[in-house]
Amino acid sequence: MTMIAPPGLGTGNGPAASRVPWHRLAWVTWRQHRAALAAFAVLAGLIATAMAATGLALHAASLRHFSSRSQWVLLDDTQTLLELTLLLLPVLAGLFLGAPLVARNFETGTIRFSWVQGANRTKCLLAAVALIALLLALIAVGLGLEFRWWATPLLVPGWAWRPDLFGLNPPAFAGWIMLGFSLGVTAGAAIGRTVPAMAATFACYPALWYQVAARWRISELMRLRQAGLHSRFSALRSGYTPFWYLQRRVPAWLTYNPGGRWAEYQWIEFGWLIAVSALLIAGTVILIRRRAA
Amino acid sequence: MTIIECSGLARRFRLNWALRDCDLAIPAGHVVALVGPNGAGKTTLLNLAAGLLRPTAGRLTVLGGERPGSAAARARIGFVAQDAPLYGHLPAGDMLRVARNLSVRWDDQRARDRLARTGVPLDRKVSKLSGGQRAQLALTIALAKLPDVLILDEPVAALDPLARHDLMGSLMAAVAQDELSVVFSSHVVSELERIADYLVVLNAGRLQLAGEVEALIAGHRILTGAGGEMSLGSQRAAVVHASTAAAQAHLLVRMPAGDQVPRGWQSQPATLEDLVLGYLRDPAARMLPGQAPATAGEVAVPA
Repeated sequence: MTMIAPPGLGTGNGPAASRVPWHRLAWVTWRQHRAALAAFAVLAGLIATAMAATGLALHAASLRHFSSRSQWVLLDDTQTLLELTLLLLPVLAGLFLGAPLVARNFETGTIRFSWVQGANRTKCLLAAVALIALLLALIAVGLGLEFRWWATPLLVPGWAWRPDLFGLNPPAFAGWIMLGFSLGVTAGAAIGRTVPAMAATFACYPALWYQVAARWRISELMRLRQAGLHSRFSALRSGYTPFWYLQRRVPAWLTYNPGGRWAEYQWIEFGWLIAVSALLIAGTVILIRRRAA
Repeated sequence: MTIIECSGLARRFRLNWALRDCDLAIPAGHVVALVGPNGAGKTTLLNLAAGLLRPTAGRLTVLGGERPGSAAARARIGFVAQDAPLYGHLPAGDMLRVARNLSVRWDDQRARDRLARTGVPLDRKVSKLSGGQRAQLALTIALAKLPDVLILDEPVAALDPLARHDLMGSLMAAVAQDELSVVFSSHVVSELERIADYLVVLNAGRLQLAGEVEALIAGHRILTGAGGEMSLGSQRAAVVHASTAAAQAHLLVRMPAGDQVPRGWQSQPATLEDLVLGYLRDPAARMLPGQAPATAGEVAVPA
């Protein structure tokens, strides 16, 4: 007879003291979701490979050598496709990893299996969320760093501040992946059905992204201070470079954000995204603790 | 020790009461059959005991005072929900490993031996198993947790007669080996007598009958006669259900052993099936510990 724990049959107090360790719950999460995680990793791998291939070409031939129009078109198309794919990645995390996490268990009835086992429902949820979030964060940081490397030859002043691209850099990108995933988890727990939860995630994520990218980033990230001309311009509203003004000796008051604050803003955005994700997960915990199976 | 004890227990789903005014104390050491028609509240009661639902009113404890769903209760109760929900995309062997990793106590060798004995292939996905194999897998997982109490919700409802027989046979073997207490719900009344030694009948969300099978059978008789006025011997006696067939009245009578059979009536022992069907056909009839019979004394029986 093989025992994992002493039986303590009939005593009533032995098993209560025992708890299911976190690493065992992590294994259960991995076994249940490894196919979806592998698919997500393959997708990330494809993006990384495409970025590496085009990035190497970009780095090998500096922009000066992009003489022909067709090369520019190719670069432009690649950049657009890449940015779009990366922007979509957090939604995909929400749709295919977040939304089914709890909702599928409700749909198939397996919640009536998992909620009566040794680990309580909160611990089961947190173990699953933590493991998947960790793997997603690793993927996000990797892709974000690669994107920065990829875009280096294209560096024009202020590119990294562009409201639509700011979130593709680590650590903000990791925050967005967390948000997409958490949104899916919460929608799944609240709705209890996978496809409607996916639809809700798909509807809510772009709305949140727009709020941050098109509103917060423009008003806060670029919160422009009244200042004189500054050589370390990094954020521009008009498209005129400081050089343009200097060349023409135009005295102008411009508003700008020093380039050195870029990392600070990255962490601010990351912090907010993680805080919102944590709130969503806390809400999910409350939901499933109250919810009947 | 009681394995399930409740008082004033009620559970409402929106406007519908699935369970009302439920007072019950099931002692340990029994195989308890929870019987009732569809929608009687059996699943609700068992889900409340497993901690999957919370009561709307009243209180419920398991294992002699534990809160349902608490760590101690989860560790000591093996629960198999209706339709034996398991992860369909996993092979049976991996399903075992998942259950093992979710459990505080686990006997892996016994689980594997049991699956080999019952012919459940470990490499086949759960969704590809037959209904009987799936039920055996769910029961194996519940037993491998080395529970003190096994709660099974309609374990045989979806099984063919052979699989039903096999499942109940292996359940009985496990009960004999481990001295488990078992509570199972069923709306199949034909096989209860050889399995259960404690009966709880639920009907339309209310408890109708609860007690040890032997005592219940000893306390009921089937009376057959021409009908008319009948005087029951004692105040403790009551007609539970009356029916007429072939110009004869058939009564299920609650009648303590030793009471005189009324004149003009023939008496024969009631079977468990007679008892269950008799009570279910008359939802007003009740026989619960500590409660007076619903009808007593002089009764008029249709001729």
